[in-house]
Amino acid sequence: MTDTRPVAVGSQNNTLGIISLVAGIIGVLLFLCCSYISVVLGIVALICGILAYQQKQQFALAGIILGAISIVLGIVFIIVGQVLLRELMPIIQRELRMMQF
Amino acid sequence: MNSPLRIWAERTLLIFALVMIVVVYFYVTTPGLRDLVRPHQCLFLQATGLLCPACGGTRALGHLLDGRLQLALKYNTLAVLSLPLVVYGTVTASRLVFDRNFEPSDLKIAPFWLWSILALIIIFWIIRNLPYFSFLNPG
Repeated sequence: MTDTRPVAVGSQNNTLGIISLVAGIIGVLLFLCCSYISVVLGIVALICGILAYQQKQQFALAGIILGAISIVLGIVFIIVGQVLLRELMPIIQRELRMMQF
Repeated sequence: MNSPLRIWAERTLLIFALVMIVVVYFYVTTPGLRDLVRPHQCLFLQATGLLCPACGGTRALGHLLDGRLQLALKYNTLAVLSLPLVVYGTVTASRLVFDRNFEPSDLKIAPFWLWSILALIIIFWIIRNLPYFSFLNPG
């Protein structure tokens, strides 16, 4: 499939696309520690990404994909995070302690 | 912005505002609910023993709401310093929805500043775990 969208030139306004990409990256980075922030940033990335895609801006598709991943990971970890903490964390901590010896 | 998206956004915001009013009402009036809602433990901190960029953020904002700026900055410097950015983002998002003369393509920020936000978060994440920068560590 060929991409018919024009290649970005120097003067093109890519603000929404970059906002989408940066919000998506931060959302994916933070899903483990702060899932709520991750979901919010994912929604920001998704909306900015869709708006940027309509205007054929750079990074729009990457922002949409990262935003979607960030929302899914965030919601999953809001639901299972506490269970994971209670059940799996002692095992992970024991393994980490074993690795140091 | 094309109008269906705007209408959709307005409806979503309206529903969100109504839900928030109901939630805050029950949170304030129901005794015992306050003890059920606890800030949850950071999984990254539990697993690795390292701080994430948002660790201490809840305590920092709590201290800030009580007017203790120095304690707030100690718990999470980045969260306190990024509040103007959050306000700017909220105002811009509201303008996109409510201001009919403001189009998404009017939004112009130099890419350098957007990338520097990402760089700042990652640098903050790394240096707050280093012993030399222990003043960024809530302890």
